[in-house]
Amino acid sequence: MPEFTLANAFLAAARKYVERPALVAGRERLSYGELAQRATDWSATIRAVAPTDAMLVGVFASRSATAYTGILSALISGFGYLPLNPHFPTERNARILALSDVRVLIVAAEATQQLDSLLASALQPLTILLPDHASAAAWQTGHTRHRFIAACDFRRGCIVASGVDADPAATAYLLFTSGSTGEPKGVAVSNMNVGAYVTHVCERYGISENDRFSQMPDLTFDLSIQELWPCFSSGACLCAVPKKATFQPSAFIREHAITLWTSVPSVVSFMDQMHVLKPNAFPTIRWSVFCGEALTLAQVHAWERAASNSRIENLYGPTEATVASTGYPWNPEFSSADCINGIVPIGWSFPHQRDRIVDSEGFEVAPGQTGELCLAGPQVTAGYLNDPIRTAERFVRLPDSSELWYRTGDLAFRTETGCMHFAGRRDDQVKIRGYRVELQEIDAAVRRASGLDGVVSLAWPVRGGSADGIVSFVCGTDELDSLQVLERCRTVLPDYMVPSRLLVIPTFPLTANGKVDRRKLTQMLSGEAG
Amino acid sequence: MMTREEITARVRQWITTHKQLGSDAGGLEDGTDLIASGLLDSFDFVQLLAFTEQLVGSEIDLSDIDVDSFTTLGGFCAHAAGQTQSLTPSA
Repeated sequence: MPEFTLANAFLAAARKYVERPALVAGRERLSYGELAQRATDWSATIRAVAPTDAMLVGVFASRSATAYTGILSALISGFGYLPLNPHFPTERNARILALSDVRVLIVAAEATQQLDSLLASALQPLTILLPDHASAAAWQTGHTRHRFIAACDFRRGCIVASGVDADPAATAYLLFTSGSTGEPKGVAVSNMNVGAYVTHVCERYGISENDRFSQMPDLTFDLSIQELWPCFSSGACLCAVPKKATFQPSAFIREHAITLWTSVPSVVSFMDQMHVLKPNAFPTIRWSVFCGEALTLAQVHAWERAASNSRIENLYGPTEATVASTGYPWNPEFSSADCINGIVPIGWSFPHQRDRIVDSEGFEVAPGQTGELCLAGPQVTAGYLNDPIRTAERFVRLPDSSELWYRTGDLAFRTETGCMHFAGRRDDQVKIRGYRVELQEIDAAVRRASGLDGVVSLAWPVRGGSADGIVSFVCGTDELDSLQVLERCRTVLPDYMVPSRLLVIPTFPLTANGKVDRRKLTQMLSGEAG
Repeated sequence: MMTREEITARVRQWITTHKQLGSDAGGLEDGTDLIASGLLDSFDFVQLLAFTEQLVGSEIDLSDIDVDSFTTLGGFCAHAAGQTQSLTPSA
């Protein structure tokens, strides 16, 4: 039995389930046999053109058949993949390309509009594979520094038992997270890291070839890993959510009989506000997995009404420890009592992962006490790409432990049962007129005072690193009596923590990854001030 | 009960004001895709939905919408008008 790599796992499933559906993306429907043949063909071309010292192949694409085939072909060739989102700013994509030292780039039709500007900004000469183009002549004429290969010039490959140079320690994918300094941080995840995750998740959710996965998060977001690889390792079908349907995926879920749903919790709130979470609206879903931000009790209730045959789990984890390291399986009978301030716990570590909640010296705190959550185990990556300083800050040895721990920067505490609760960010602390304030505490107070679930507080206005006050955004209707809510807040919060204003909005703006877009909320305030 | 034309006029006015289109509002055709054109994001769209629901006096059911046509100005207004008509008691 070969060691786990993403390429090996896919190729094994492709051999076993040749005729079964592997992918639905737009108008394309590919069986495992067809997808494996196409990816193998492309990989023959990649191997022919990639420099011998290359580690990664870039995939400039977005949830299309070309995107998934490109990813698979990179892996089958023995490389890792670097996803690039065509909708991200060119400058950011070019910077990521340069940081990653990518020299082969697969470009899908949906990204060609942005390709000109990307190539103009790219620092290194690239070999561009254009599987959706019959000819590369026009591109070659316009960009002589780069080399272009269109579909008609691709080689034909022969499906092999496993990927070339399938090394478990090699990078499987490279994702960039936003860095506090403004420079994106690259997290290289090895086949070993992701193998530990995928193997566990397949068992945890009992995934089989009969499952149908939705694929909604962008490929640059590690929540996509939770969908792609348990699916392609098990012979299940991946159903890519078209861009327009990400806006309102309820019809998509029904049309494709999705059995395994993954999203950030904000998507639930959004769908609820669109009035589409009707009773038993999604009877085919058997597991619903939420990850990426705090899951609220109200979101769970709204979702369990619509996906009434589904079990629900709240996952927690940073990209640096491969998608998720802890989980809280929701129990409709008992779990409400485990929620604190209307927030679902992050639960317990996966069996192969370890966690410690530590104080500022790295010593474990007692149950009930809040500290920084640190993670260890086979999912923890080796650090940031070409960044030994930030790697040394975050990937550390803890007292009485010989292994490497990742300091998440997240605060947490555990109850006597060992169940962990998220308690905010170490670095989300703000100062209001010199007082130290945790915004989550204000969110919880406004939540209680308003009876509404969706609350996001911001320090505003900020001057010289300190803020004059707090503005709380509340997701609700104009009927909310803001003055009364603020009066109630004054009864539980010191003066400096009481929001100066409540702004009632019908829904929160979301980022490309579906998280609440705090930057846009801040822009709303800036717009008012301007 | 509002007609489709009345709803369209009010929705067009809401978008023009909300997005501060000014003289650019002339480009807002029935076939304009409000999302794909970048005119509205999901946040704006839910606000538009809330406005339209208030306008027609009822909840707009989006459970089985055709996402390809629903996000055009014309498609959105037709859907809103259709919902209103379906709620009108028959004579």
